[in-house]
Amino acid sequence: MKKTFNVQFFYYELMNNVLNGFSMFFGIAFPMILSFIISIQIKSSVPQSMMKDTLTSVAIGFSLIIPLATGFIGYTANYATELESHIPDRLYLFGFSQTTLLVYKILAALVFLTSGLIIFAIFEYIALGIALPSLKGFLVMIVIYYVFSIIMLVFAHGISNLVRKFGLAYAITMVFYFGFMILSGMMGISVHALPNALQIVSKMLPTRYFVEDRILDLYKGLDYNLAPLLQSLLLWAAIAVLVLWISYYYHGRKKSESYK
Amino acid sequence: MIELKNLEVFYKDFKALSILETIRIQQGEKVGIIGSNGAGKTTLIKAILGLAYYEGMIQLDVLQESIAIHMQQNEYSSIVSVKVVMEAILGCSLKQHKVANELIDYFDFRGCLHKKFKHLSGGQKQRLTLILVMCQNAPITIFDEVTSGLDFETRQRLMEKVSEYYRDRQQTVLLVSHYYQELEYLVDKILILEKGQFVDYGDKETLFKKYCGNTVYIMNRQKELSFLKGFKEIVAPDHLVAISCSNQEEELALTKLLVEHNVDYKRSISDIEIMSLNAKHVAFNKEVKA
Repeated sequence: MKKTFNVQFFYYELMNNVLNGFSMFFGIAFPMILSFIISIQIKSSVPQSMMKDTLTSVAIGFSLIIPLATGFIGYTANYATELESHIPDRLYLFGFSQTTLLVYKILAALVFLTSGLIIFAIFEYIALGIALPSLKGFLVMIVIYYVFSIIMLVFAHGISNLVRKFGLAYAITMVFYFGFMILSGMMGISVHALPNALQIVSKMLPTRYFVEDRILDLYKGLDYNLAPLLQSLLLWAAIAVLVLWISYYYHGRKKSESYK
Repeated sequence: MIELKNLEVFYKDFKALSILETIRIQQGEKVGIIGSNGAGKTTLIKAILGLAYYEGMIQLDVLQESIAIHMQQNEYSSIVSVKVVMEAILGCSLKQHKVANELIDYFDFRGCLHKKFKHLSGGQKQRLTLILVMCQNAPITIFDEVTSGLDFETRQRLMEKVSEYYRDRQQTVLLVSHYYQELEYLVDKILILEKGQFVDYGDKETLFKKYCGNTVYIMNRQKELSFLKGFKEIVAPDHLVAISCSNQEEELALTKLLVEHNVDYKRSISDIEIMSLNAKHVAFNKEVKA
């Protein structure tokens, strides 16, 4: 029978996220540990007057690891493993369509990701003493954050569904993951130090705009030009949907005569 | 109803199955699909489910998604307990699902609910899918090699329960197996496939009569069976001899001889294995030994 929304399936997907050690460590513990280590260095080298802003800026940048690690790498690790074991195939045969599964998985991943973000924010506020956002800044950033996370989840789902092999899917997402990190200036190289061609590519990555100092203006509710960030989100949304569509095209079910 | 017409199923350029005849399976019929490895049994199931590319026509009077299927291999998440998996698939708490609870008790599965899937034995894994498939109460249910990999006793017990459950229900059942004895429990009709080709389809009894006569006598192939000369020997596995009898007189004469020569034998009016061997033999244009 065709399945519609049920709480039990949502709980099942959520538990698959929560009990996935990879997402737990890399999505929640890792960004906190990393930002804490960096903050120690910052505290010894940045003037006191700039300390709060610098630490806030670092926290915003590292918060991106949560959707990238849980929503992209962690999701791929989980889903590609399931695909390799033909678990989703079995679920299709119980009436769960590919789209239904995708919606459940994204909802569960978003709830997990939200928990991660709340834990991260509390930790950063207490341990690093970051500034609180303005209401406008908080609302705009949270929307952008979720849009970016959904795009990454759809992209991860599409890649996994297309290649259906854990090793290959994981390798592809790792290339994108480190590509995003390096080209956004999150790995110690400033985007301005990149060759011109890579700087152009960098401008197409939403992550770049989270790492720039100007993101603090958005965070504080000051004037901020959202256009480049929105354009980069649109571009990656299109890429993610295209990859997903191709994966559905290759792995969809053929309808019988009566129900074409 | 399921109707197949001019069906050809492909894996890339390889034609894995060809059924050029029209096959109709009516609502409520229990159909056995048999054939050797590579005959195209699972391929046919995949085509019906829309999981394999095909040309020709597969007409169903229900949605593909409403077909319940027990595949040869069925995998579930081992991150969560079996109970969580079951509730997710059934879409409600197990406590609220009366049929699921009946089936859990019927298959003696309650002790497995808090285990993880990877910790279940082969038989328990099969029972889990059986319960979930049977809970669907689907108009068409397909069992593809449900008992493969299980020991004889577990196989017998499972199939007895499945047969008992479906015998008087108005659901269509397709049962793929190469354990012919399992088919005898449940099915009314047989579809025989071999090497990706259609061999025959019809009532179990009609097919038996067509290829084996009224009765068949089966005995081990011994050194001295020359006294059987004059009787009609039909195709049988290498270690067996099968004699077809078309009337009671012939049977009595044969029985008398077998008793006189002190030969162990089995009399059958429904042996699917001998019937299918002879059907395949005829279909592939070999002469039945006389």
